[in-house]
Amino acid sequence: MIKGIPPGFIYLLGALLVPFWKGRIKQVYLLLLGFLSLGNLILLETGRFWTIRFLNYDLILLHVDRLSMAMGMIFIGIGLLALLYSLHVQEDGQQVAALLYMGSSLGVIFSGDYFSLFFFWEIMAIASTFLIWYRKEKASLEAGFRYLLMHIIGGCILFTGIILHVVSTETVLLQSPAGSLASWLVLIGFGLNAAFLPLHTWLPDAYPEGTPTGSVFLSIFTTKTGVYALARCFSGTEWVAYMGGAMALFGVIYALLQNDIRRLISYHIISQVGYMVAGIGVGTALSTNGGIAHLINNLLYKTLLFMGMGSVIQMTGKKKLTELGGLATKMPFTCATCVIASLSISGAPGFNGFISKGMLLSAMAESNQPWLEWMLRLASVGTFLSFTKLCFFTFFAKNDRIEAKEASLNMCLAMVFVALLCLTLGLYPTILLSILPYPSAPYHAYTLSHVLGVFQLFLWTGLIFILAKNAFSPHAWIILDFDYFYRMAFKWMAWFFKGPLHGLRISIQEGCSRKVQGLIQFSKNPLVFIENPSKGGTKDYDENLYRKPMGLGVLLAILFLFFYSLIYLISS
Amino acid sequence: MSHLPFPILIIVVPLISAFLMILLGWLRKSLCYLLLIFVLGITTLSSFMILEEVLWKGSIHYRLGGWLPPWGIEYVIDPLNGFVLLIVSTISLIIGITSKPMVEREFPERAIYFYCLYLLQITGLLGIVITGDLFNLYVFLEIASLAGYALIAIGEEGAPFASFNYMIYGTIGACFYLLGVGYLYIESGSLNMADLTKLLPGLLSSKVTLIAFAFFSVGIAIKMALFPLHVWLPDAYTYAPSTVSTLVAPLTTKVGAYVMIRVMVNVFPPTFFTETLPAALLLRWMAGLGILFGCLFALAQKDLKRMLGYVLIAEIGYIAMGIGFGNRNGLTGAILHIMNDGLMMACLFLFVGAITLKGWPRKIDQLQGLHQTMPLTSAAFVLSGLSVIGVPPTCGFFSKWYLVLGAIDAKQWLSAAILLASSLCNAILFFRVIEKAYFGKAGNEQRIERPILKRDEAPLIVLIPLWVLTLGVISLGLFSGTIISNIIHLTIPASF
Repeated sequence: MIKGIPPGFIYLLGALLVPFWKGRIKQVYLLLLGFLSLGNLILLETGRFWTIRFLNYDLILLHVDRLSMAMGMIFIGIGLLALLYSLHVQEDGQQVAALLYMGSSLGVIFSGDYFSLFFFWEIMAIASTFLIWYRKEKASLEAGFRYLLMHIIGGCILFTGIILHVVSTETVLLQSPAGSLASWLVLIGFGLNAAFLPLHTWLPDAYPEGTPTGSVFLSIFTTKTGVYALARCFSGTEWVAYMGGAMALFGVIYALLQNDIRRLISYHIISQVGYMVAGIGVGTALSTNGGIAHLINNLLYKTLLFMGMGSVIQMTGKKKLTELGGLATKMPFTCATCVIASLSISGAPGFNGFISKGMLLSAMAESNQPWLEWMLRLASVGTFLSFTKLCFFTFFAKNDRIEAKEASLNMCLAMVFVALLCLTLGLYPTILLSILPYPSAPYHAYTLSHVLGVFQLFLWTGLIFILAKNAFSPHAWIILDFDYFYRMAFKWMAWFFKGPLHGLRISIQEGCSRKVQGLIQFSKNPLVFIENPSKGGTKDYDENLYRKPMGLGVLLAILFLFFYSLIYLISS
Repeated sequence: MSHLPFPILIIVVPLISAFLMILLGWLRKSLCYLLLIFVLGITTLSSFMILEEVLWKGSIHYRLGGWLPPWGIEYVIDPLNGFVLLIVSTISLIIGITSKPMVEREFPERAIYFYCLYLLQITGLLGIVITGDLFNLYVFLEIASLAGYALIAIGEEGAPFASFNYMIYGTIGACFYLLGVGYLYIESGSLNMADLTKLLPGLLSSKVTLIAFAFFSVGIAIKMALFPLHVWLPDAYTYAPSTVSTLVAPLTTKVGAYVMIRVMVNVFPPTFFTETLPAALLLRWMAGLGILFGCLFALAQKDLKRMLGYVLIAEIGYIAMGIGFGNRNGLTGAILHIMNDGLMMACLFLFVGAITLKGWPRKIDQLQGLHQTMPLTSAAFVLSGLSVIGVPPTCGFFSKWYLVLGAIDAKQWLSAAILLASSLCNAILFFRVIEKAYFGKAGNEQRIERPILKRDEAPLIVLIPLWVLTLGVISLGLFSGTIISNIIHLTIPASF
């Protein structure tokens, strides 16, 4: 009768034991944790388990249905590969942070109520911050703080929404929030994690600053839990669908302008998350399935890209397209897997992106959303362009000065695994389709029109790229994003706090200090105002100065007796 | 097991052992300590068995010599005094264990008489709690007080005078109490509490009963050191030997508080105290002023032990205030605070004893570097200090919580404000000491002779009991819900 334990707990508890192991044993231990949770996942049955009574609410720590199961499968699978990729990391702190991060995001996926979801949500925000800070550079420290700040603010907004929802419905069960204010607040809270448009700035800001392995973890979990939470509570909201389309376009345009390779992929996360959000926002069975399928696929190739770029950065020490190039012969595995990932993300037939993008596009067409369909198509063009650019300038452009070796064995192994998974899902889409949460009509990816359409698109874009290569060649420039406004606003706020508000505080404090000075003397000797012990010389309290004759106390007792009797007699 | 007469054993064993102690001391001085621990162990065990039996089977009535009440003396144990009995015996056992090194350091030649007096003191305190007879209570009150005067007089310079002072006030208190009993006897012809409870409702309009109640009010207030009749306390507890103040400070005043609850709420009908007379109102005012006074004067003290004495006065104010609210929550808080304050005060005074044992001065501004030499001892002080302030999850928080609830139920907003303000004041008090002990700059010119960084912890025989008390402070806080629903709610009169 083993029904399995909440999957997050394996990582959360396992994280605590990491510092006790050393060297090889630690690596085995880490992989063991991954396999353990994989095994645990198989034992899970559909339903709600591990219910805990807390403040008159039922907290559900393990809520299994097809949606959480699909998410859990991909999270645990890809998490295992990410663990493999980061196996060579020696710092215990980084491993602990990564495990806590994975554990808490699994906790989010499998929690069946708002309170435990929020609890894990916050752990996730904090643990992931450490993955950024562990790079131990000034830029990453600052980016980490900005990241944490935004997520804590988002958490507060989310919590306010949750409280409003819980108060009005008197249940903490995870469902679409009731009341428009509650629903907006919860949507903003979730949306911040899913990188909704004006709130997305933390993502391209912080992800490139993480440790090479940390960025892999970061790219997997935070945005995808956001997407999951949206799928759970906001499926079929039109506003969300258009937000998704806008994100898809916006991300691609900014990605095209980037020079830093990891920042480029980070903007692509926004764009890809946009696809999923659009799918979920449309809300038909096919589109939601498409969103989730895209999530799964995206996790695979995006992780692969972060792994590949992480390897490139680790091996060359460079992270700008202008400084890279010519790595195709020096890092063949990395190059091959990156090309596979780029083809997948662009949706080339035979790769997994093709399946889910096709699902999304036909879902848009089915539900009569031509605007959305074209937004996504345009984004596809941009995606293909920017990845052609990425691969070309990283691996194939001429660069004779660069020195590099192939990445370490565990990294290559992890990359090859993920690349194979991309291909497998692309060639045998039924595997992917079978785990999707919502029942819908069977979807056939390889129709003639679809394949031809994609090829057409590729050809035209390829042609544009070749003709206008110079226009796309990377530049070392700074591109302003929304965070410019945030930083400006914070600057003004800082000025306000430092200037006028500080002055006010100083003047109040000085006023209070004078009062406190008086109080200090009083506290040193409470009798100072009653009688001044001028003969003692000191103003501090000294019991010997105030010792009264014993008879006085006796008199007091007798007086008390007298007055008590008097009062009792009068009042009775 | 249940046939053993625990209610009488708990009195007779320490009483007889007190006299045996002197004989034993002539034979083998070293055995005295063991006898003390043995006897205290028996009392603790008995009180535990008694409380268990009371909780399972209801009140126990034990008739001395087989005489029927109201003529004979009767020991009655209900949940209230069963609970207080357990507190008194447990704390006295824990303090008894720690007494050895302190006695050896401060007055080794008088150890035998000290142990004898210790047992007499405990006999007195337990007797006060267990008896169901008002006059018998007076007898035990005198046993406890006389032993207390003698114990305090052992102490340092100034102790004999403080003890004499205490004796004068204590005698007046006891005398008032006795007169109260006398007036009540004139009116009702009975000394048995249960009997009086039945007789008194018909006699409440009589002037004699009123005067008796006035005598009780003032007499018990003196005994429990309720402001402004507290004047004996700071001197007596400051100059007493460390182990004596550790024993007397947590227990004597708490037993006084128990007597107040017993007489005012149980023997007299509760409505008499709250509605017929403005007694509850007067009590609240005295308590409120006492809390403010205690906190304020504690702030002015430079001697740690003296400061604790004034804190104790404030704590007594809490208990009295809880009784004065005259409602369920207030009384719950008061009874819970009897236990909590007993623990906290035992812990704090034991801390003072422990540092005195290692030659540290009691002056607060000379404690720099204490946490380096005695880290565990200082940590215990911090935790129990937090409990006095009322930080959850320490037990002090919960009693204060119920007191504030009581204040709100009684619509006494000023009292609630005083309770909260005193928390703030306690925070200043204890953080002043903690700041010195933990963050004060070492190498003060008065303490150059001691190598500061060397670790020099109190002996285990003191340290372990100290930490048992400290863990008690925390765990009883965590389990206070259980204690309240299983014990304290049974003790509160139905009319509340």
